[in-house]
Amino acid sequence: MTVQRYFLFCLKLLFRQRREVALPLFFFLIIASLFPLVFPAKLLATLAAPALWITTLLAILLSLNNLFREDVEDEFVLQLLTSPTPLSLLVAVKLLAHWLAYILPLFIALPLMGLWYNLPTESLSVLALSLLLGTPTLLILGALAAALSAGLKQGGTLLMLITLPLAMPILLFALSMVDMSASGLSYAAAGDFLFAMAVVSVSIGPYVIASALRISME
Amino acid sequence: MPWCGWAFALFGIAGLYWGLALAPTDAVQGEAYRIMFVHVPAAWMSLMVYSVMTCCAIVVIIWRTKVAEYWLLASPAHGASFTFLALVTGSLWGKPMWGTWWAWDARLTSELILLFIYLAILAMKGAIPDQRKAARVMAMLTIVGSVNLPIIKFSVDWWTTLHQPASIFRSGGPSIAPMMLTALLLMALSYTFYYFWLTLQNVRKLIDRRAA
Amino acid sequence: MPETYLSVKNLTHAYGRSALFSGLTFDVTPGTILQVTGKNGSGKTTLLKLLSGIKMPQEGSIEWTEEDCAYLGHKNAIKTELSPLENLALYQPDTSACALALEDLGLEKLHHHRPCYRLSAGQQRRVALSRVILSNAKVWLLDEPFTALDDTAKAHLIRHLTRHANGGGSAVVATHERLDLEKSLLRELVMA
Repeated sequence: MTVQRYFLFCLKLLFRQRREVALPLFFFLIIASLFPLVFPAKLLATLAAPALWITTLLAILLSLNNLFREDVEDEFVLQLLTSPTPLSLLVAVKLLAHWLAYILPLFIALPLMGLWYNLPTESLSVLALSLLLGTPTLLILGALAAALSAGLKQGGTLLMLITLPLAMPILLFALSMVDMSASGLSYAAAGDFLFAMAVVSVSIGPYVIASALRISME
Repeated sequence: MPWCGWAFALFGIAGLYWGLALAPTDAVQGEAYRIMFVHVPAAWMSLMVYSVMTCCAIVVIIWRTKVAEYWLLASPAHGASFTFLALVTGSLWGKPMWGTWWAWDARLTSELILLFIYLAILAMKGAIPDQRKAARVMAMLTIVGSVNLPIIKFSVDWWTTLHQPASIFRSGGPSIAPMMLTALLLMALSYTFYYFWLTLQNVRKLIDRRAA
Repeated sequence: MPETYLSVKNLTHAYGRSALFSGLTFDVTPGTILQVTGKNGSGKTTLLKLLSGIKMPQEGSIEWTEEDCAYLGHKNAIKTELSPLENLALYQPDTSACALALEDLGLEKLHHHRPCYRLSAGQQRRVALSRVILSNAKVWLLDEPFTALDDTAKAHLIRHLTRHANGGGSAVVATHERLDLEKSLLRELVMA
């Protein structure tokens, strides 16, 4: 099993499962439509970014349920564990495939969000940037939680309990980024922090997640 | 181990007496500040227990030492209680001081996150029947969550917050009145003994159960 | 060819408080099929998981001279949305070799491109077995490989095991079935 072959395998499988893969996206659209519906119009501009960020977080959590569950159930994960290819690399490409399948579509939905939330292009692009910088770290943290809770009963709930406290700082920095830009200030500090977190989590994350998976499968 | 229990009681009584009776009235806050003697050591403990857990976690992951595993299994409940105590007493203190029970400033928020992390660790412990495996999973989670510790510690320095900045663990030395400092340290020692007393008991129980 | 592929010394494993096995010592040498038998719950699956590296031994050591092994668990580890050939392509890019292996185990061509959820349990098991046969690993670790297989498929598998052993490979097979192999190739390990 080479890394490239496994990456293409993951993509092919996600494509075959596209109906299940689309569910978190529908969830995102439905929840995202609720806020403009219930918020008073005056507040919508300030609440748009937080609302969309929380919706994104929830959609990511939902998608994470599928990350390792099936692999554990059909014991495919044992093939990954016994393969001569390093598990961290296999995990890394699996996560990349996951990001492309589940999170990239959310970016495509952003222009629609701009319409629903009456967001000017300027704010929308900062929001998009914050999502781009923040979602990799969220995915890594969530994948770690998924690896630790893989195969457990109530794994889904545990997944959320573990991911949410760890994700809160990311959320705060991302929203601070949007906030600063809205006030006309430079958002470089928050943006740099998010970028740094993304780099760190993407570089050591797969290795940690691989260890967590091994511990979980013992 | 019973001596831990006695030490806890002894220091506890000493600390409370010192804090309530002997320490001078604060210049700014009057008498109400005395809740600090319960609040501050509790907050210190919430961080200390987590640091101890992080060290145990590293030992568990690298060497799989059984004692470290038992210690890790026994600690989070106490850590969570200290965190909860710190948050509640902080809230009680905040009402007269700042006029509000809660505020989303950096220090309070990160302490709340710490509580959630403790709860998540406890949830994992409950979900895995095999104790040794549970310990290893908890270890990973503890290590990842330890990123939160420096955030808590330095949150009052990095952001302007409602919560007062550090007055004891500062580079210039403590800026607090000596009597108050003594009371604080006594309470801190008392809590420490409490933690060690109960955790040692739990560890002993786990060892016994394993040997049975 | 090394003297032994796998050397197990003093292996002890307990689940909770009760010991599954203790002091287990054996070698897996080239050209042998080691059959592991024992009651349900005697630790056959755990042993295979220890040998494959999925589980860490509590006491004792497991030394491999080979880097790769082929593992087959109770479940097939195949993705049912994909076809047999697509599943095997992950391990062996040469499609014709995969097709040959599948046919050799009795899975006709018409099933090769169908998604696996359309296949019966026995047919899916054959796909999983093809994966093992196609791998270059010298050591096969098979946990109850004969489940859901009919007699023809069983015969195919035994033929493959014989060929593998004659070619210098070896296998550890946990099974209740009687293995109709040449005496010279077969060793037995009974778990109490």
